[in-house]
Amino acid sequence: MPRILVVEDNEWSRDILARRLSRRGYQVICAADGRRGIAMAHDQSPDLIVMDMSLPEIDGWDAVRRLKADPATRAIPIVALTAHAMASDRKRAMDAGCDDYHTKPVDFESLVRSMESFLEARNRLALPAIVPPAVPRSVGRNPAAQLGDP
Amino acid sequence: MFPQFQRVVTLSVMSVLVGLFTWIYLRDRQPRARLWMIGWASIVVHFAGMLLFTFGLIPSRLADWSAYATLIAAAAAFSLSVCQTRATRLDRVLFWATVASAVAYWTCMVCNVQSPALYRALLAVVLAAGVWHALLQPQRTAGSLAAWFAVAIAPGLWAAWRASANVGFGMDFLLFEGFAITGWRYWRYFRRVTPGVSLTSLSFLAWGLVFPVAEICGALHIAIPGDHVVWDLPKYFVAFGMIMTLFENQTEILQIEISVRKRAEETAQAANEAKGILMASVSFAASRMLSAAGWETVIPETLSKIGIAARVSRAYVARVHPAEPGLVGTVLHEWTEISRAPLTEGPRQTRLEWAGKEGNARAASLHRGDVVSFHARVTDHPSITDHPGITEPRHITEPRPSGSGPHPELPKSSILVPIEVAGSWFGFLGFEDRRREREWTEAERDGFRSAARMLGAAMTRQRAQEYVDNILRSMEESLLVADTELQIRRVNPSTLRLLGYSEEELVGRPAGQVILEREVPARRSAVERTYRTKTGQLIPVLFSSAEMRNGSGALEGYVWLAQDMTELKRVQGELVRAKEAAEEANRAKSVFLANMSHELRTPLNAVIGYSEMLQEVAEDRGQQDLLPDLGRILWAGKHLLGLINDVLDLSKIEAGKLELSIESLDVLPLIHDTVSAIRPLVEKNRNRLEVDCAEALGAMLGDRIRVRQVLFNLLSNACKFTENGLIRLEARRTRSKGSDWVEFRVADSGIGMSAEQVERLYRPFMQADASTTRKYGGTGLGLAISREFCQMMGGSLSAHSELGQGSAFTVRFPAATLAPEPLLAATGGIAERQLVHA
Repeated sequence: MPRILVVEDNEWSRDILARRLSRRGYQVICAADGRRGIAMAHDQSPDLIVMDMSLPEIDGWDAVRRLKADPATRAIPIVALTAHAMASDRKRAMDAGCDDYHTKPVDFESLVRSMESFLEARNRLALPAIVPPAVPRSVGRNPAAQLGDP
Repeated sequence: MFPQFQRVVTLSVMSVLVGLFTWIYLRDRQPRARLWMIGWASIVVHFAGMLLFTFGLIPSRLADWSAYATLIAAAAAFSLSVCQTRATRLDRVLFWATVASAVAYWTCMVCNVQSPALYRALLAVVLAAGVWHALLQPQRTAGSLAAWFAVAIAPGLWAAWRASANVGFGMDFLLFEGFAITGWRYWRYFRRVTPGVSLTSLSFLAWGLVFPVAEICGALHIAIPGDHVVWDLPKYFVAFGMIMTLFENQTEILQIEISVRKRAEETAQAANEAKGILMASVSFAASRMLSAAGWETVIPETLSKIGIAARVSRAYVARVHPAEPGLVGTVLHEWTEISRAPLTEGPRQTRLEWAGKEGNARAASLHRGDVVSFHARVTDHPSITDHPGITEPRHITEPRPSGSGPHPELPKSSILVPIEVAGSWFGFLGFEDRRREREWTEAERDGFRSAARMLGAAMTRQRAQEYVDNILRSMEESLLVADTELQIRRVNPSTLRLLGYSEEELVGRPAGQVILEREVPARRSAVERTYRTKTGQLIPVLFSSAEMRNGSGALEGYVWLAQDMTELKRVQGELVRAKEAAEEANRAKSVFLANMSHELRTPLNAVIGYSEMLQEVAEDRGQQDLLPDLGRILWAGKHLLGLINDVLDLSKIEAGKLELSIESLDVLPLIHDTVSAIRPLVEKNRNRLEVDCAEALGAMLGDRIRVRQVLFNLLSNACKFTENGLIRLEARRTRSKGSDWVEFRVADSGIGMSAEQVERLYRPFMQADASTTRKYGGTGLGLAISREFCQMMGGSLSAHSELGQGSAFTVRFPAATLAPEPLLAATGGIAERQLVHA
């Protein structure tokens, strides 16, 4: 089960994304700011990170730069998901080191397709194939989406 | 026997004389001796003829021929010998008129022409020539005229009267005239009583006399004893006298001739001296004119110098008025001899006018650059008008004193020399002599010409100088000229105005007083520098500096041009501030838009996200009744998102900030993608989609995202406004305006639009009807944005619609020239004409 790290400061956005991803069978872990996001990327070694850009403590661009500069986390694909939707914002995010870029409000199917393509590529390269189990759609909050502490 | 003997002796003596003259001529090469030799040779022939006739060896007619021909030849030669030394044109005319008449007369006579009128006419010519000669003698007196009349004219007249009775009588008088005139002139020429001269002169006269005397005697039937001897005696005396003259006075005559030649040389020298004086005056004038600031300041002095040197009464400079008929000029400057009243008085200018044909001819000659000279005749003098004020022409010829000859105040001789200024005829330099009629010598003409040329050059130079001054004066820019030491040498009025100095305060001062920068001599073009005014104020100027070099390339100084930039600076400052304010406002707008977009998206994310998830959950739980409400929330959220995107696009388009990445796009895959994306919308209103595309569409040029956006927009519009209908998407290549296009046409069978609605179609936020927004959704920005995109990509968007008849939108984009090859392979299914039914 691929482990996805969602770094998002807005509680509702984090909640909705975590729940929807969980419903699709991903293991979701969440962080509410850049510093915690970096720490969790180190500690929990997620398969992919979905990163908001406007974050407290360490902002998303900085966090991406740090993660991509660190050999331990360099290989983790990072998908930017941000409300900064101007043309220059896309470039800014990609320049910081993001592997893909999606704007809010998120086109969920498109985001999932993008994530899957990264995960597949990663599996082909390094890991044995991970076949996500056909998880029945559950209702309600995904416990994994809960934050350890705010 | 006696006559024969006498003639033999005469012939011998004459031959000896001719031998003597030949010897003298060969020895001394005296021109007169040559003529005398010819004369005496003629006489020898004359005697030989007589002798031959005496012995009956030639007929009388031939004797007549030889007698008169040789005598005329002798008279001509002797006369010519005397004339030659002081031959004037008048002398030559007289001489040849007489000779020609004599030859004609004698020819008529020996040819036995019986026409007294002709003889009288020829005689009259000779007599008239004589009378004319007598009257024109420079030192004529009443006595000499009377004597002339008595000895020459009266017998001539008598001979003319007698011509009808005895034509030979006239001939004899002719010969008399010839020899008499020769004797008279011989006497007058040498003017000294020496035996040789006296004998020669008197013998000529006597020789001439014997012919009329013989005729008179013959007419009166008086027999003269020994007549042949008597008739021939004067000839001997003449020859004798001439030889005496030659021998006796050889030296003196030579001396006289030498002195005559010397006098001529002296005259020439005097002329040379006069020329020298004239030239000196001209060159003096030239130097004055070259050194003076203006030619007008030195012209009075110049005119007086030249006038005195050329000994004229008046010299003037006149400007011509070429437009007027005749020769019309205004006297600008004038010099007159002290005794003459000037034409010009004080500041008045005198107008000269030569009217009529002569005036025209003179103007034409002067215009050609020729010198015009003329002598006193009333018509030769201009009418003179003083002006301003008096306009009535006043002829200076008006009161003529009694007697002949022109008015003493009238110029007897005038010469006009054209003045050329800067390549065109300006006027003329006029000189007049009122004392005497004179022929202007070459030297004088040359001198006047030089003076006129020099004057013209001075005027030309001054005109050029004034031209430059005018340029400097009329310049708005400040001009400073400095020498190599950076001392100011020249300034223009603009500089003085700008800096507040007077010319004297600036010229000669160091440039640093005015220009602050040290690097002034460097070449600069339109840079900003600072000038300091007299009051110490600093003025920003637009400054250009150039090196001033002379014709050979040596540095002479610097030229600085400057333009006051105070006002410019102020305006510039305002512009900069305005621009900064505009940029600031634009930046604020961009920031606002970005913030707005950001702030709207975050809550919208929640709205769309939760409603999508709730839809799934509701479906999972079988709560179908919730689905429509959730769908409305979702629709509203997505509409809001579309609105935000469109507003951002539009504001970028308006700000000119939207950047397109134009590339070559395969058309068929593009259609595929669009069709598959639009399918849900097509199905929503139970429409059918028909795709009709030509086989070889190739590629087109455009921005992939924006082209798709345009097509999607058109198709979604068609879907929105059509229910249970047909939507057609056609694509083909067309060619117009010399280039290839890829054309898409989206047609529907929907509600259509009226003409007014079509017109408002592209205005932002204007759907065909305000109510349609509620019913059909959409932001009203899609078409406006689509059209902008099409135009930015070099294409176009047009609409055609009728109310109730559906709408058709046509977009076209430039086709790419290179059609990518593996088209069919990439698109697979769509080959041929394919219809996709949705």
